[in-house]
Amino acid sequence: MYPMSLVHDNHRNSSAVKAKLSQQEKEHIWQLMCENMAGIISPKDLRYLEAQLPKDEYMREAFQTLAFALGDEENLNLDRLQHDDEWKDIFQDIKPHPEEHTATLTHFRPGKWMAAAAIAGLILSGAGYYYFSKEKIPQTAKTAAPANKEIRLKLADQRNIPLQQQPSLISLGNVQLYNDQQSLSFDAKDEFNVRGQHTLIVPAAKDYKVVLADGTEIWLNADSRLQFPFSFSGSAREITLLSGEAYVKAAPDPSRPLIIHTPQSTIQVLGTEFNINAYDRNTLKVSLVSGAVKMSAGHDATVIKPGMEAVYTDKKDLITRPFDPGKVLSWRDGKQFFVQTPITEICAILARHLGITAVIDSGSPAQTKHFSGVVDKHKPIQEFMEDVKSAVNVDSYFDKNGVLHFR
Amino acid sequence: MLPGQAYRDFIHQQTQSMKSTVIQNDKQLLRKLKTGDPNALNHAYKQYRVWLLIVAATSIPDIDVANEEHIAKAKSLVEDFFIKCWEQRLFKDVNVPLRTFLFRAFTAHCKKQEASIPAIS
Repeated sequence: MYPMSLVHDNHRNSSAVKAKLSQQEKEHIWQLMCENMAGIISPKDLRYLEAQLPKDEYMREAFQTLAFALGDEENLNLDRLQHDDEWKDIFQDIKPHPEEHTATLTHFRPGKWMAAAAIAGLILSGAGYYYFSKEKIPQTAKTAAPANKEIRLKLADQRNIPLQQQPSLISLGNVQLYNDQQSLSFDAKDEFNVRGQHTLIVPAAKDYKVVLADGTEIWLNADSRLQFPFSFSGSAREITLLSGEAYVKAAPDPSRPLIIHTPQSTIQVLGTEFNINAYDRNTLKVSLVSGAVKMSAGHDATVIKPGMEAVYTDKKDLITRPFDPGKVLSWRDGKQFFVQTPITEICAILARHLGITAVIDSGSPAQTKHFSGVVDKHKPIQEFMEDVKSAVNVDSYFDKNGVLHFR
Repeated sequence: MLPGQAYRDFIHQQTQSMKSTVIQNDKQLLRKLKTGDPNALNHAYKQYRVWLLIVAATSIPDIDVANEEHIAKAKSLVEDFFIKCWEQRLFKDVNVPLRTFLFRAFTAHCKKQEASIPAIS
């Protein structure tokens, strides 16, 4: 349950140092946060929200937590909820009012409807419980490839822009998007009509690159989601890796640090190259190639040096150790390394990186076996299947539906 | 006239009219709701139900947004809330902006209903 304790801790710090927002302001911000998630916020209120959030660390954290909880399409699917058939037709249930209506009414009294100080605690208990319930789901349960196979950009206002067909130039008001099949870049002189945080969604078996407004380049591995604005305002450049893996080549700008939020931690960057792996919700790995990175997670913070990686797990806290660039960074060349990886977990990785559904036949010894080796996206899968057979003596075959079975 | 003035005027007009449509819509909607127009209720319901569902998802302690049943309960909170507003004619005396009213009255409604939701509480 560390996200909650993290936030409560920040609350103590911020309340000691800064002037706090009043309870009424907090409730109003909560209202606006929800309007923003629903995509109905007015441009004026969005500017107000963006101006208020940095003033209160607690609300900002709550906002992030909320974004993580709702940004996950497997959970609350906001696209789907826009449709009429998801909802009861209340039109059927209501009766017209009689004209001579004089009954006494339940009046709404502002100020009496809610216990003071309830709001923020409520926000977090909801989102915190989300993390807790999510932790119980084993990673291997997610073997099926996600239904939506398109690389797409989901705008803050819930519009979806598909990105993979033809090289294309897309105009969104004053923002121009360039999509060349491998990567996305954009030119936003004035983003008046497309403000807010947009989400780039890379499905299983794909990878993609995005160049942000400041020139920072980010390569996203399969099954990853990155949230960013079309232009950075304020004193920091803030983006969010909602899930998955990213290789970041940050554009240097000492006056505005690049801050990357992940479900587990916050990473502060000053011009550098590194890899973030957040596939496992309980573990975060940040592997530094050059420069310097400060990572804070839970109550810990550490500065990582080149050649080292910081590994954060909610149980063991933050450790740093050397890493093998050949293995950690090889996904950018289409290779995925396994080091004593259970075959059950390999099934999930095959789904994510190759879009292959893989299962272990019941009673197969593969259920308890571990494999060390590599699978290369650009080579026939049969090479990998032979490696598995010679290393751990497990046969594999494709059935007529294209499902890979370990026998 | 300065060069580009026509363009600036045009943009100014556009932003002014955009601003006023946004506010006008909520104001008009509230005015119609006060008169007891069932179409206005349906309109408000369609426009604001997803938003209020998110409010519910962030205000009910221990809700699990990955759980279909929890979401179904939260949805029925929203549906019941609009029906209640209609039946008890709650819009009649509203003197704050529509969204402010919906947000406050709905969080109060959630608090009241919390105890009666076994799956969540």
